[in-house]
Amino acid sequence: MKYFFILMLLYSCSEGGGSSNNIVAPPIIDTLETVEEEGIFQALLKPVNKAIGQHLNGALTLVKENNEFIADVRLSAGPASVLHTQHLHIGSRCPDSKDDINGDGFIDGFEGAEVYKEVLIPLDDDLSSQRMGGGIYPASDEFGFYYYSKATNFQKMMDDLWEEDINLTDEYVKLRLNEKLTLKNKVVVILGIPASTLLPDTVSGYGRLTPHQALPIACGVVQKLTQVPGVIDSDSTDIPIPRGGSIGGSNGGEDDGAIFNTDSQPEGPGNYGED
Amino acid sequence: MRILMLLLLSSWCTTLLAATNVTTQIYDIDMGQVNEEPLIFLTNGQVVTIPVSATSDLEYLREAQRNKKWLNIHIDNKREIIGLGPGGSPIREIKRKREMNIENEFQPSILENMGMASSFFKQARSNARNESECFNRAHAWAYEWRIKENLYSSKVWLFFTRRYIRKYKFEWWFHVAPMVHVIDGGTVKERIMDMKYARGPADLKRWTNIFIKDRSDCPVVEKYSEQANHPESGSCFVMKSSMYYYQPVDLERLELMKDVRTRWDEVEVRKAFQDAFNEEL
Repeated sequence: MKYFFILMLLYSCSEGGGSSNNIVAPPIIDTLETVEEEGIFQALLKPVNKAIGQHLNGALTLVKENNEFIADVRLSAGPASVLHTQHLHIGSRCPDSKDDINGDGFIDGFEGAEVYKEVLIPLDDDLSSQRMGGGIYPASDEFGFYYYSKATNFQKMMDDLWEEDINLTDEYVKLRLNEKLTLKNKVVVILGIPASTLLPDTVSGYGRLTPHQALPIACGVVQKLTQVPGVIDSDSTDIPIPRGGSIGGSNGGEDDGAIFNTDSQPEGPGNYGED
Repeated sequence: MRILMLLLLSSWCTTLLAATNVTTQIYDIDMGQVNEEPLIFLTNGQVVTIPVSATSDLEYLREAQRNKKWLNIHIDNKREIIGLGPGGSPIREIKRKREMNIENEFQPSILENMGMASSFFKQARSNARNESECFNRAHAWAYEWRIKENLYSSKVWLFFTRRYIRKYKFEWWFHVAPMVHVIDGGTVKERIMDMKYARGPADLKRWTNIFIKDRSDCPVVEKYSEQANHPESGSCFVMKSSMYYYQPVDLERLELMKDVRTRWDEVEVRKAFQDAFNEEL
């Protein structure tokens, strides 16, 4: 890989005046950024449209390890009981209120795609192919939760991404032959709200998707995971020792004693089993 | 129905028997790599497998997952599904109110010495049903200590990552046990009271080592999403809560909805005693 960089840098220097000679210089910076990286990548999901799923929480996790590629998507407190189309896009940021071009209060499928751009990897039933997954996407349960997890052979997926793009008009794009896959700064977008949700007429669909199907609900920018949350327990606490040491304790003010006797307040031990 | 589903979705830590029949729903199906046995996450807490070749059964499971159908599943001693059929929901619909109160702060009791912790450990019921679920045992033990001994205990939650479950074909995706605070060596320490799997009050590392085969450390996180959003990082995570939190979904609701628990819930306590000790309150 080092030699590849050196060769590319030399090539870049020698072709410094390429544009004036009508010679197109290779996209050297782009090539440098496409170095294949091993490790765990994560995109924390945030709501795109504040009116929908404001408590939404979740993440995309991507793992590139040896020849294995794993994708997990966890979404919680999103729209309930609906199919969620989910893609990894080639854009580098998530849409925000400034991208609401028509000012109707919604980032719709069309406005969103202007920002997150084309699809590179559909997170569907088959990660190894842009097409073979057949548009089979996860559906949320009645609490707006779903968990998606797929794994594939990395080389198989790359072979597909390196194939010729036979449809230049659709929303899918391919990598150039032998171009490495860069996960960092790609954008994951989750689409879809129930068809029963009231939307203004100004909300557009996208491609073959209806306005409801195409509405982006969650988005995140992929970053390399460099640390794991939490702390390692040190077998100590910062709780001060009470005077004399006592059993003490408090639930914070509410009575929690005889839960089956809401009219009477228990004063201490001995009320177990009262009903 | 909402509560019913919450109860079902989060019951993840059933003790396994050699071979067993369970009535459950399908929470998730992780297909893994080509030719790997899929992992079937059951809503009763188990993680089981099915041969890749059993395509019709897999499709049946997928359909059951989509439609939240109840199934009767026969599992052999290798945790492989060997029989499938429709089943009826064993849990009636339950409604309850939930308090929303973020102002209150739980303060655990502090035991004077390790002897007291050991005494509580020995005094706790030891006749849990073999197939009982950990969150029911933990809830019943904690409730009984509170009611009989006025002990305000805590709970410690151990979450196994997807990576760990795949690597070791591990059969749970969380485990929970009561925790008490004890004065020891001039400081207040936390001791895990897992009467099912430990011989006495244990520190966190000793307790997690019972379940973590590679003995790796389990980072302690504050929020549910910190572990849930890291399914491929390490082997495990730990969370701590007051004794009132019954299932993982309660920890998630605390984070998302600020739904702080400050008291017992009758339905949960009854269910805990029924499941853990086969006892009607």
